[in-house]
Amino acid sequence: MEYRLIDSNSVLKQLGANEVPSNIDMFYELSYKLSTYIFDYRMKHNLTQKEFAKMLGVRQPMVSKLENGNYNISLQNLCDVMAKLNTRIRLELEPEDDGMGTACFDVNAHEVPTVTIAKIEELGVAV
Amino acid sequence: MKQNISKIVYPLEFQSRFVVCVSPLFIRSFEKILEGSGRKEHVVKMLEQRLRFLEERKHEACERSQWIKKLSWKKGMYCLRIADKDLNIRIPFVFHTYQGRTYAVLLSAFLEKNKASAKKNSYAKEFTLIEPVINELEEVFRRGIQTD
Repeated sequence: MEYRLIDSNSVLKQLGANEVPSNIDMFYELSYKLSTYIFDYRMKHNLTQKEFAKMLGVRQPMVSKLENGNYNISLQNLCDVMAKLNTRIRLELEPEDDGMGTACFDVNAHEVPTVTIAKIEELGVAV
Repeated sequence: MKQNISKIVYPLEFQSRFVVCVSPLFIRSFEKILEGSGRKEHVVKMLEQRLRFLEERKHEACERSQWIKKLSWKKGMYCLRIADKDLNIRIPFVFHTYQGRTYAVLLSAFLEKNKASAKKNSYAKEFTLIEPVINELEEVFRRGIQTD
């Protein structure tokens, strides 16, 4: 068999990653940011998952789930965790374009639409 | 043309210059897992997360042991890990330097069994498949990297 190399974006396309419904797409993008933030925070402070869990007041499996990248944490629990990390969550929402140049839910039709992302900002360290 | 704003707010693509996959071995084995998973869309997005992380952090990504495991019993061999419900997907890969540039080369994908004996067998079986590919990586690189 003759093997060849394909770059990872092309492989993801072949596997159908760009055909995933936008609700699932958004979930995994947000999960990526959240889980990577949690992991980076823990590494930065040189903590094991167990030590980090103790700091947050949760159990170690919860930290493991948070870092796995597919945990559907409740909004309240997320806010509880981030508050303990002295971290503020900024969530910005934009209505989807209906294809006719206007937003489906047009709250600010006179304003130029802006592309925004969910942003997590670390304000300080409280270990 | 209908524009899906979620694709702008949450762009699917990341710069892909570091991670490459061996075709058809990786694609076929991962497709087989996807088809049997019952959660194709979720599993493929979890793969995307890991590839993105590896692309962004390169060798440092290996510090995230929940996603990437260095295999102690096989020198220079790593595994991407995807755990979803009852699925434990393993994607063996190696770092390979070609013409002064290092790449992470994904070789194949397989399901890790839960029992220790089955786990040992599943790894052994997989490595008989991928070892010949590792041995001819220089030649495979010479053929070039295909992009869309």
